[in-house]
Amino acid sequence: MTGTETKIRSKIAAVVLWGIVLVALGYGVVRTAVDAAALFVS
Amino acid sequence: MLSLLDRERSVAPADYNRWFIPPSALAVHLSIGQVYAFSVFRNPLVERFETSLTAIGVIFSIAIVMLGLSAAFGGKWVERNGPRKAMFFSGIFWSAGFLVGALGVATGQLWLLYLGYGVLGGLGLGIGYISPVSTLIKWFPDRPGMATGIAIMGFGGGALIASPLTSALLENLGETPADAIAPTFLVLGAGYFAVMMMGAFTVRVPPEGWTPQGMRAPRPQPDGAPAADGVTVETAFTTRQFWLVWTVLFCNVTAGIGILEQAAPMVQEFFGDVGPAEAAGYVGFLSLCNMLGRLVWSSASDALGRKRTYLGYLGLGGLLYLLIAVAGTSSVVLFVALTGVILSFYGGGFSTAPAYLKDLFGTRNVGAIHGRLLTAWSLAGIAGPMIINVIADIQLAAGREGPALYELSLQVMVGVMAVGLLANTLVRPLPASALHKDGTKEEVVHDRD
Repeated sequence: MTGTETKIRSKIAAVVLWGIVLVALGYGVVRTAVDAAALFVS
Repeated sequence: MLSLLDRERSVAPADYNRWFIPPSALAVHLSIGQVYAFSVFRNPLVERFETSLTAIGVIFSIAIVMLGLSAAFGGKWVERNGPRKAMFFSGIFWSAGFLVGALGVATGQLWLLYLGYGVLGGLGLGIGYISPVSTLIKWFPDRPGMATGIAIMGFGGGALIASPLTSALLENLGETPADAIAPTFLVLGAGYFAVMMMGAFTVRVPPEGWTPQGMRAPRPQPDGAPAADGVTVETAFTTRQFWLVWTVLFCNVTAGIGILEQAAPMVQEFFGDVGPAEAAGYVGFLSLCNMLGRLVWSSASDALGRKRTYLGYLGLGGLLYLLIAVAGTSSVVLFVALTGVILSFYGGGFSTAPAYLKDLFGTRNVGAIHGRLLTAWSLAGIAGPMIINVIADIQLAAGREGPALYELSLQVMVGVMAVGLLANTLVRPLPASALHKDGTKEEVVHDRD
């Protein structure tokens, strides 16, 4: 594998990982916020 | 195979985009942050083992003690071997903890849960918590507070993800939540292993001498000149500065964790019309504040300076405790807002600490020094809830009820914050003589791989 290929692979992996952590964090924040809001409204 | 994990194999090219590093750190911290959601397993585990809450609570306590011990004593190993190997072994230990725990649940052996989730999982927690800290600071020397804030925010956010996810798995993987514990452990163990391995294999360390584009020289902190290279963990451990920062963190965590642990009963005692369901929503709100504080306040510390930021956490925080004690019952909104800000300061205290250590002791061994500092967290985790619970029991025995159960505790916390404030005021930059004492500089250089 050439150096350029390695670089591209690691960049793709990092971008995918950004996507995973942001989606996971968004899920946690939205679920918690919705639960908290609903409970306060009730 | 293990040579793939060596620090030399993870050195990035000079033109590598440093914004590719935070997700690696987040992958690890979001995974190990699950520990804050362990309470979701408590009732199903009590039912499965037909034992007391205390016996189940021991699992969490072992994990937290192991976190403190492995962070304190594993820091030098982490610094020596680099973030990739540290994250790899953290992932192995953390997921092995779930697997051994699942075996314990399936065979009805509680001691396997102590060994698995408690001991093995705790080792993964400690190593994982400190593994990305110095790497992030080296990639973001111009914004160390923001960099460590992103990672340590993940630890707070991990519980927000794990809590609803675990509830859903316990509902769907068995006839009852107690039957679903073992498969839930297996799913979580496998999932966290995959995410943490992605983090381990994408993390990179900057090449020697690398600085971000446009950064000419390390930006001096408003409250003191940074140590240029870095002192050894042993040297840092013997300085007054280390123990002052230790006291600052201990006081900030003691006060905050006391509120966090007692949040649900406290809000119900303050306001008679708040039921258990509303209290659970309130706890979720506090967790959000805790998480956001880790990112926002730590990032702000890059502009304000670390000492001034802790002045805010402890000075303003102390005033807020006082305000709750004297006027907390006047309005639910006021109570929720004040405790929310306090919890954001609590979270900020955690994430600003590595940058404070970097300012004082330099970048080289900041991960190992941070590991030692986390012993303050372990002790505060015992002290904070104990202060609140013991005082509440005494007040209850004296026939008091409602807010009166907590007013004295809140006043004690004002005193705790004042002690932390004093310690912070006494922090001064490390004298140049300490940096060069006994050839420390040379030792530091040898500490490189």
